[in-house]
Amino acid sequence: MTIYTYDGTYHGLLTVILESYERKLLPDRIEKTGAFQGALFGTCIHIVTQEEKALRVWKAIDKKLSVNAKHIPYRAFLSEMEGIEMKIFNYVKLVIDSKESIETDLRDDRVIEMVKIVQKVSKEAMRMMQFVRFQKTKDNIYFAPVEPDHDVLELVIDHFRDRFSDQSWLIYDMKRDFGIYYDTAEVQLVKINENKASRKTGKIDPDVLEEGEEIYQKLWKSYYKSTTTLQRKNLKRHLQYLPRRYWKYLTEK
Amino acid sequence: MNEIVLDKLNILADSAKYDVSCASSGITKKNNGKGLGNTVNGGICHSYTEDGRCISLLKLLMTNHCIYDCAYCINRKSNDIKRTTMAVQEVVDLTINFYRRNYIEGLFLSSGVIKNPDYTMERLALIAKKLRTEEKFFGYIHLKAIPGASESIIRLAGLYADRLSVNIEIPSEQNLKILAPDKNYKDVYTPMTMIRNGILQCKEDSAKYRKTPKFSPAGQSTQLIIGATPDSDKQIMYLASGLYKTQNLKRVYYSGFLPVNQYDSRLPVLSAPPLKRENRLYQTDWLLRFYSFSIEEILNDDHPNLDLEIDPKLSYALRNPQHFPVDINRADYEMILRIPGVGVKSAMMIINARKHGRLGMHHLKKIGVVLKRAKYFITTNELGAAQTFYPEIIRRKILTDLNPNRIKDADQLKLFNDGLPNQISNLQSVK
Repeated sequence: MTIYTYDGTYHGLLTVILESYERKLLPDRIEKTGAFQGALFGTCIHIVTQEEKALRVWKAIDKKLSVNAKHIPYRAFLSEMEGIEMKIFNYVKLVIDSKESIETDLRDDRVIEMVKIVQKVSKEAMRMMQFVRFQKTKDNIYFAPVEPDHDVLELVIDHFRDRFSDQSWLIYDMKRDFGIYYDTAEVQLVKINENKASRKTGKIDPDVLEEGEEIYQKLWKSYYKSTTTLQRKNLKRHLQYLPRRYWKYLTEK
Repeated sequence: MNEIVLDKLNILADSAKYDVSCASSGITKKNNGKGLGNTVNGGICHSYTEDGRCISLLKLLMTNHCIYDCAYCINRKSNDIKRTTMAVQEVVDLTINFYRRNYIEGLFLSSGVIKNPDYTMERLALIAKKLRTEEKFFGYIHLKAIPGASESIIRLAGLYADRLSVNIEIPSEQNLKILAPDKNYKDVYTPMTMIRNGILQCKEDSAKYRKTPKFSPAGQSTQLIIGATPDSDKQIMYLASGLYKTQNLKRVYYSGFLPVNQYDSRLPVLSAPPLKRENRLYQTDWLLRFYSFSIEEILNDDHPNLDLEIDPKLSYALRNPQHFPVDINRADYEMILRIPGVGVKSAMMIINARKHGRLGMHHLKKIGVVLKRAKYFITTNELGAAQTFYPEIIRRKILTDLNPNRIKDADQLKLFNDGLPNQISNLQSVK
């Protein structure tokens, strides 16, 4: 058994793919260094990330897939699902080894599985666009805590940057402890030292909140209530569209 | 912003919710750093109420005062309810501040009619204008066009709004006359036609001149109330289908009648709003817009009302056994779309995947086809695939799959009643 370990970054994974081709030694498993417990049998090879090698694989994928499918390996990586590395490896290998593009060959398990995973990741990104709720702080930053199922913040940067181009905002992934911060000029990835938001409710300390923030939250909550038609109550559908796991950080819930 | 606004918001949101439109779709617009907000083509739902409906726009009445007295409307003149009016700036501030917190995609502003239609329409247009010019707001704005308003004011509103709508409400004119003595179809169709012409004109002009101002770029919509009048599904959907064709509407909304005004003998007494029927009408609407069905195939003189138990696509398939089973590997896209259990997405995936080779049942399952339904209507030419098509049996099998208990009970009861009285008495004696 051949086991490759890498640093957990996407470029690290792409480097593994290239190296395994160069060594003519294909992986049976690919593991993140931190998570790897060691194996009783087999060869274990650690691969150091090399940007230049990663880029070569990136370009090869780019050449073989259409605009509709180029993002598939990367988006699948953002799913953080267990064993996703081998799925990506098998997919990329299939892409590179095939003469024609295989992206629509959904008869192949390697392809349909990746398509379904990417659908999930994209849906989660969509949910960020839907369910992010900003609270305005005293220093004029609109802050929103989130806990997406997949690591999707990067995918919504463009959306929020264009939409809220004249306000400073920070969307913070409470689970992965990093956020995307926009200062009305550019977006950066940031980490907060002292997080003033409650992990339970997402609410920011009242002494950091801007005056007037609370009244808007109150207005929104009350709007949410009065726009409901009680004679039409349908909790099943309600939960289907608004799963409970998102309620925690929703102002209106 | 203060408690007074809170009070107004409650009243005016509560009065506005009977207009079911919530879409923020139909247009992609970026602000490119010039202001606040954008719109995305598919629209975004920001929350869902407990009735399972989406909240995309801040849906408000500017005022719930009204000079009209329509039987079905909660805001009719003769109702003894709390009345209030939002100031222009209050609506603007609410919209902007909700938007900045990512609560909403924009504003859907409607109104009771105060003084006269022109006065009311002008105020709606003014709010939209303020949002666009003073606040540099690029988010979604949907305005109600007030029947009876003059063309110049509607034209003005269309320059600032992404979407305009006029509600027909009652699906036939004679019934409208009974329920809303102050209204007639002409009043409704006049602004609708103005908007249609405005949109067409704008399209023509922008082909010629580069800087043509946009006019209601996300189109127009309307709403029909279902179940307040005896109009059949056929009448309702022929009207809707006609509107899509002649008025180029983007959406027709169907709103199950909610008895908000008690003791009006002109209206039916319903224990609950006709939600199932409403749902079937929406499904039919979808079949027209995305599944290339023609309305005559779904509703006609032999079949004037939709089947409440099964969806209209399944119902069509069962009434037209001559078109099934469909060969997944050969049939064209339109025919694949007609298979119950296959949606637009799966149909596209089937078309793409079969270019690479034959598809079998296990592939379809992975693609996401609902085989529980689809299996009766498709063939993949695998072994043992030939089956005879008995609509009644398929219908019962699918219904059993949907709700095992209810159907089983019903079937058994029917069986006993059909002529086995002895067995019933036997059963009873055993007990």
